[in-house]
Amino acid sequence: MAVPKRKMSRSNTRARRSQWKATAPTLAPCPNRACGELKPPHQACPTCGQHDGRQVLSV
Amino acid sequence: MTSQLGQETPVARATARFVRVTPMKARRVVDLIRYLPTDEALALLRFAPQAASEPVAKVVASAVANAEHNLQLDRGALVVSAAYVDEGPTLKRIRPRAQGRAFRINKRTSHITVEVSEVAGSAELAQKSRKARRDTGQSGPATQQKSNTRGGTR
Repeated sequence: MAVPKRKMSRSNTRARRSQWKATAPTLAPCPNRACGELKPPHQACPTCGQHDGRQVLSV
Repeated sequence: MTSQLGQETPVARATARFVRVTPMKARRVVDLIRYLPTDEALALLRFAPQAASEPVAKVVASAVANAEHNLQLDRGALVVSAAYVDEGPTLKRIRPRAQGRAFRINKRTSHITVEVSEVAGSAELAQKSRKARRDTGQSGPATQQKSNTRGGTR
């Protein structure tokens, strides 16, 4: 079975982990004037339950 | 630890200790919210897919509540001035393996600390940064891109 020949250096481990980052989700203010909470675009607002000017979720 | 946003500004702090999240995973989330206005940070954490965002969001909310209740700070002007994750005690578990061997499973825990402080005119600043982001069509929080170049807090 193939096995690593060398111990991986701290430097290499840290260099690999430095690229393991989370990306912030895209958020836009809810177009409902009464709400205005940040929410992902193209989705019904989980706070006020509206999408495209209609009530689509019961809140 | 001194806040990088000003020496004499009052700082509200909240810590969640012994959270059953590995520090590596918690840091990945905490690195997203450093120097963000707290309302933006809470919205971001609400929609971030990482499981560690839930406990981190609770700590941010707790720090905001501390700032409002204990220090009478203005909720709208709060920013995350420092955020870090320390490692807590590790719970050790055994995974039985072939030939009678036993491998160790480390169930790591975290202490998550968030400090918030009031920044004068940060509401206007946040508005400005949001507008700047819209104008340039850039994704991601503009405040973070600017202030994170100053390095970590630890």
